[in-house]
Amino acid sequence: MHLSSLIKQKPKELVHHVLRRHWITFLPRIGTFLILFSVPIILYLLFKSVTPGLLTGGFSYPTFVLFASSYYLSIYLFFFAEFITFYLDEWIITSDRIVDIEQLGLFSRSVSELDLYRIQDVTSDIDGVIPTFFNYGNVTIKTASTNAHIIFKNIHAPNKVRAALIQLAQDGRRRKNRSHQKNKNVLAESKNKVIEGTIE
Amino acid sequence: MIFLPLYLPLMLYALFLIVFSLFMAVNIYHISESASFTIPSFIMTSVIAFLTLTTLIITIVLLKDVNWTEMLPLIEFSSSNTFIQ
Repeated sequence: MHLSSLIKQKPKELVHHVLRRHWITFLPRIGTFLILFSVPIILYLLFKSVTPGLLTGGFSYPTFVLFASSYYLSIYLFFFAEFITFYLDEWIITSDRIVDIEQLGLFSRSVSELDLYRIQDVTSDIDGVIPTFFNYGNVTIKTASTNAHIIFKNIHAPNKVRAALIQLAQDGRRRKNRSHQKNKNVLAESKNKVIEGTIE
Repeated sequence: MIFLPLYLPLMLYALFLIVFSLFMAVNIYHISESASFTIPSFIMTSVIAFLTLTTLIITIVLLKDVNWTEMLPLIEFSSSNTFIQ
């Protein structure tokens, strides 16, 4: 599937940014994976030195191999699922709106949209030594409505994104005002035509 | 004495492989559904596929000499002790 069909892109709508979490925030998961990966190797070496006969029995040997194989396949699966949850959280900024796609788990996904002209407040924050060093943090977007806000979590260069969003929101408001004025003029024109027709 | 066919753990393993394949398919479906065919997702998918294939090949190599039709005594009851062979 292409991005334009995912967000049902309108004819004149342009995609400005596709944002994802910074790769450094995935490192703890890689660390956990490596620890889990080394557990059976450590256990094997331990059993081999303590009870060498245990892993060579007619039943215990194939069972141990099948169990170890299942264990490794399980951790690959969980690691891949973690990557999917991490990587499929994305925020798409177009010329008209923000699309917030959150992958909450393997079977849970939420998609929300916010029109750019509705943006009232954009805040970026970089908190901590590592985020400052690698230049990543959160961007919070608020609207006049109290419950409608979107947070871009752990994205790269949040200050740059905030500046771009403010500019796009201003453009969006200008466009909205222009189309609103155009509609008003059309309505006034048709009203005048109706009045003229009634007098005649 | 309780006897256990050696193919029983193999059948459980086969069942596990079916579940594993289903979940992997769901993961790949998510990548395609979210228009995320990018270099990082391609690299990650390739690494996982490589690890999976390597694990399966090692499993086959380690178990190639096992006679799966064998019936093995799991627990032997005796007057003095109970043990797992």
